[in-house]
Amino acid sequence: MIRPRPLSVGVFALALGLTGGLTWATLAVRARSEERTLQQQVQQTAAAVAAQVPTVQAQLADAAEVANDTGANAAIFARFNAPKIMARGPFAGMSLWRIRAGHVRRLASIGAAPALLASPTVHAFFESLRPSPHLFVTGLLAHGSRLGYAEVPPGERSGLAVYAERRVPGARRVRSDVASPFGDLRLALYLGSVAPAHLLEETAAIPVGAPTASATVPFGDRSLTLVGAATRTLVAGLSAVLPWIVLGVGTALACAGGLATESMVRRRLLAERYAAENERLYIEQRNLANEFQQALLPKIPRIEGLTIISRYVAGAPEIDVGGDWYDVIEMAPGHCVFVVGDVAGRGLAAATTMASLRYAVRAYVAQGDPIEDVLGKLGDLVSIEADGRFATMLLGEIHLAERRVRLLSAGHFLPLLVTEGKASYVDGALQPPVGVRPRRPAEVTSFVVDGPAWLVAFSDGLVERRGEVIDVGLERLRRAAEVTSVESLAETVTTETAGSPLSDDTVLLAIRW
Amino acid sequence: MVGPDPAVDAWLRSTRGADGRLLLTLGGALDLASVAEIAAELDALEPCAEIVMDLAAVEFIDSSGIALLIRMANRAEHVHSVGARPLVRRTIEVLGLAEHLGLLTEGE
Repeated sequence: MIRPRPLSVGVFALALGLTGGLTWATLAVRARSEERTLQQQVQQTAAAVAAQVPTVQAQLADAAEVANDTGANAAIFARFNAPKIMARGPFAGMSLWRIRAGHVRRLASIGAAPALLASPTVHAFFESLRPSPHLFVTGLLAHGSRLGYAEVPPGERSGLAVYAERRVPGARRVRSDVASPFGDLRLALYLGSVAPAHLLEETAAIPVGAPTASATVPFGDRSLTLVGAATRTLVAGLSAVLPWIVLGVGTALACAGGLATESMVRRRLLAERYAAENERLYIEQRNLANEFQQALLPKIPRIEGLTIISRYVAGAPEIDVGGDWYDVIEMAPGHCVFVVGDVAGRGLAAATTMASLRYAVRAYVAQGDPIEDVLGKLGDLVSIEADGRFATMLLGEIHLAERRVRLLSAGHFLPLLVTEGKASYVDGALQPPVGVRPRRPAEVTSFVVDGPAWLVAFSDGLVERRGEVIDVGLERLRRAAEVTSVESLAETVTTETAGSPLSDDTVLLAIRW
Repeated sequence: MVGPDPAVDAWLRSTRGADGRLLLTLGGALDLASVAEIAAELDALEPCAEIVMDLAAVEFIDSSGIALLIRMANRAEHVHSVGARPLVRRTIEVLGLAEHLGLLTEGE
């Protein structure tokens, strides 16, 4: 299924947005650079053009001085200024004038006749002439494509003025030298403000809408406006390529980011699904285990003529059953068998061995086997070599009518006999534990109980403490049985041993008649 | 039996006498944790006619340790356990294993 998660789409969109923003920013920076570079180049070009002015001015000033010195001699004027008029010279024509009290008289002239004379602005122009450090400039663009320059030296008192005209290229197109520093620009030069009538020169038509820069420089008593547009990208190198690099890299990262997020989200969802499944399975198992445990807990039947107290506490905290158990089986009225057993170890492993022993004992007893035969048949169920485990067991048979007790112990504590404030351990033979091959036949301890008595069987959890010789604990229990009632003794099993993490399974089975 | 205290490790040393008797010397606390380490050495032992287990250095023993001793005794036809401290001796006796492990009474 290829449908992507909202988060990965979001990450992708965000990264793409960031990329877009960055690309836009780099494009903006590049445009700015272009602008600045264009502005710079136009400025420089304008300055270069305006730099002509002092030259023109110097030439005309020279001519004026010479005219002054020679008394406005026309011949001298013509000869002196001839070089300026020749084919390669700067001027189309030059003339010498005297302006006095509004009256204008031409004194000398060389080269082409001034186009100024045909211009409607001729009077205004001459009227504007006065001694000035500036060069006077007029455009004659509509009438002959010329610029007119007039120089009236600052100290001039005799009204002399030198006038020159310079051609502006007819088509107003100048082929720009591509190799020149300004070869990248389309330039248009205006005398005064930017208007078609003022256009002096242009290298190529500036496309409408192209980004332009303009620079205005003083030009004599007027000004020149230079407008430039770039023919190609001015900014080169990394700056030019950067926006595309950013876009490319950014898009690639956005895709990678989106994919990575998608992968992570999917894996997390998968992990969550597994976790939920695991939890469900665990709860299921735990419920099963609990039910199983409940089934394994010893249950004591009611036996006519006997009072039975039983206590069971599992040693391992996480489980309700362990390796210890007790059982009372009624064989016939007044005849029952009891069992107290202890499988070495604790927890589930011990519990499973315990279960097989417990049910085996019940089965053999139900068949009618005497307890010594029952013990003999149990050896196959526990293998110390295979499991590393053995089990201790106390089997007891009670005949109520005869008041007789028959006991058989496989490595298990013999019970306490408590009568009228006196407690003592039954004395008898010990067989080795179940799982150890016995070297002699089982020996049953048999005795008769006079009067009311408690028979208290237990597992080692009740008497054992680490580091203590076992007899200390046994004596402790014996004395407690003499001092307190057996019922109170039973109570201590739950309060003292329950919950301690290192405790063993603990069992107490007390039978009274 | 109560649970393990991993403070003291267990050790096992075996020497074979000239007469073919295997002398096993054990020491430390023989409990659930430490027995697992020694068990491998035990499994490497070959069955033999007679084993003497010197338990003088055994400070503590629980059901796992007892199981270990039983398994060692199963490898021989004749077993003797000597030098057991009172704590260990009484544990073995109360389990009805004195005969199986050849636990000699004091003075034997």
